[in-house]
Amino acid sequence: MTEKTLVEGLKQQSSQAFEELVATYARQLYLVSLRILRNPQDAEDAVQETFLQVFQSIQKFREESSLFTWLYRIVSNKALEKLRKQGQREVVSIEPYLPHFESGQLVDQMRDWRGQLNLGLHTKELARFFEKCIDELPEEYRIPYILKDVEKLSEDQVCDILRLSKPTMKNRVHRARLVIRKRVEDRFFSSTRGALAQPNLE
Amino acid sequence: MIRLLKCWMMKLMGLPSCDEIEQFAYAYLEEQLEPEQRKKFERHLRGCVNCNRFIRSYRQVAEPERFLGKTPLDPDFERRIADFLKDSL
Repeated sequence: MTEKTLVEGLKQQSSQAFEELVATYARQLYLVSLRILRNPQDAEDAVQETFLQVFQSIQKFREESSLFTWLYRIVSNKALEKLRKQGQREVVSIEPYLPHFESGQLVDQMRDWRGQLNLGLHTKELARFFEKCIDELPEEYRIPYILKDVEKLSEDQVCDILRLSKPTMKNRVHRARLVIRKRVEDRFFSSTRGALAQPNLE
Repeated sequence: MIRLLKCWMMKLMGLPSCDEIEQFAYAYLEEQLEPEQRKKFERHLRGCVNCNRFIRSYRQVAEPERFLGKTPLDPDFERRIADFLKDSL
């Protein structure tokens, strides 16, 4: 079923179209929702609410954006609403993690990640810390990073979903990458002779 | 002093500076640099260990699947969603 046929079916309240919609998009929407909320039950609730909203407001869908974009926008907003209702979460300030330059030269001494990554040491700790770094990004950097780098959506899709201009979206993804890079490096690769720094995970 | 010299050398060769490498890292990775810009960018990387390491680690972060692994999905998930919708509509 093409997207156009699917939308027409949904507008005619066809049960086959509803089933197709769930079968095609439920898992993708769940993954992005889970990535934002980090809680399987809340993520599933956000997906249910998304479909409910789609079914209730499909007549108003004017097809200015794709169905895919519309669904992602709704699920991201639902997940963010839930997150905000849960209250304060730990967020880092990005400034300390941005690179420092002097006369155009990098002041920070960069570490070589290759050997250590290839050895596969501390894989689980690294994965956990990486998740933590994503979770603790400020929302305006975190969501573009999740959609672009984790979910592998195109730049155009991310811009459409978040209603951001392309330069803003690129800048936010770039800064999110810089912050995560620096935090992971400081935690795992900051020793002087190439040996892994001992992770100190809370 | 060495830093300033290196910066001066890069400029003399018409190559981007380290801060420009950071500035254009996103465009480099997404293959959005013009061929000539890309060539200069890569020449800088060949001559600058620090930026080379920076770009390698930056790339790792832009491709996080290596770190994140797969999210397990409950096989009943879609059925639950479908049931919920049947009950709600």
